[in-house]
Amino acid sequence: MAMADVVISFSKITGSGVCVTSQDGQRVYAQLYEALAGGHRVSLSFSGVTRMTTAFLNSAVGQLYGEFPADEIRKRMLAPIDAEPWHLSRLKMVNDRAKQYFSNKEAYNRILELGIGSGKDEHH
Amino acid sequence: MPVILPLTDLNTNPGSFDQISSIYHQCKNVFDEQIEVDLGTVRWIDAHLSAAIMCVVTKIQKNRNVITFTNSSPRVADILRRNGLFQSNLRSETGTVIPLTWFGADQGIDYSNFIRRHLNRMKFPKMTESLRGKIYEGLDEVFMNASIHSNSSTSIFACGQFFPKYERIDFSITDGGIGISGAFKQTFSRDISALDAIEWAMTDGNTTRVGDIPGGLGLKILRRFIRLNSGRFIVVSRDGYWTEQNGIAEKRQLSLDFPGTVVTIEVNTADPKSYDLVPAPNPQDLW
Repeated sequence: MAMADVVISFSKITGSGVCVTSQDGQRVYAQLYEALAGGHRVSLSFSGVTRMTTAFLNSAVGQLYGEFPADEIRKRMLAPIDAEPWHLSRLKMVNDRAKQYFSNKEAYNRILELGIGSGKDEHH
Repeated sequence: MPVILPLTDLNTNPGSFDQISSIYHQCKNVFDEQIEVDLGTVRWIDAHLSAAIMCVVTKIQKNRNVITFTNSSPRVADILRRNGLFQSNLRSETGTVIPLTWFGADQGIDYSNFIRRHLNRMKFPKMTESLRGKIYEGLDEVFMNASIHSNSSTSIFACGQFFPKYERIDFSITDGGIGISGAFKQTFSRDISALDAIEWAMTDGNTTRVGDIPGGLGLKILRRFIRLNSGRFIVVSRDGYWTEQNGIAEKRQLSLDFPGTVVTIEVNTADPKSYDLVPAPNPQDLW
């Protein structure tokens, strides 16, 4: 099969601009996985997306990093289209987190566990 | 023989959550009874606490108990009728009330539409569109968090109240699940206090999610927003009470275990900040 550039539209798959549930994210992921496993390059379309959670994005794209090497994802995932700044910001946040999570899942969980009670906090 | 439980004023503070939990603890092993919650000395109830109360009521009703609220003053009865805790045809779909409503864990879209419908109809004279977007996002994240992590057989309860005079909206989401400490134990096979578990969950990147799907961002997004908004963030999970306002976090050990998790936010609706000004990341550098 020849490699093609494919557009995957969140709102077309979910049937609305409300992209909030993990289950809907899973439906997006199924199509995304199929396209990437088929050797295609993919651009995500945020057209019409009015609501979006990290739970949705974690399912839709975060789990890619558990299936494909990060450099492979970088090669195949194109710049999103029809995206507003907040869409991009959330996508970047979820991708960065997923890379961290899958880079060494067991060690990462151990480190998080050791952080309990250390008083560490998020900084802005 | 009926069980009579007196309550006093319920505000969003540790003592009030202990009172709500005490209803549960006094009735959790009671079956087929008439239970009367006596509101005779109650002059005020923070309306959004109805979500936590209803969670407890639902658990007690599972033992085939019948619960009635008695002796309420006209003012308290009016609050609880309009917000839907009292079954009534006066339940308000207008005005400043976001009525008590419950959802299954798989009803995230219905919940999301419910929030939008109520916030869209309310008149917030000073609310910017960017603030509205942040509120939607925060409330969606809380629901999804409860849906994924609570491991609950009961519904997720939501309730809110807008205070035009104070330019503030309070919103509460309650699940009757295993609590954050319970989710931690399930994931890491290790005990943790409820307070430590809340603090842990509030830290960037921490999640009890396991397997192929990462997590750990929702509560942090909400916390960041509430800090910028100068609002208040309150989490009650089991016997832990954690609150943050103006960047200062406080924690209190509760006397009683709440059977689940309550996330409450108080949002300053007149916040003029433009949350859209955060620079967008480079679309070529996302992956």
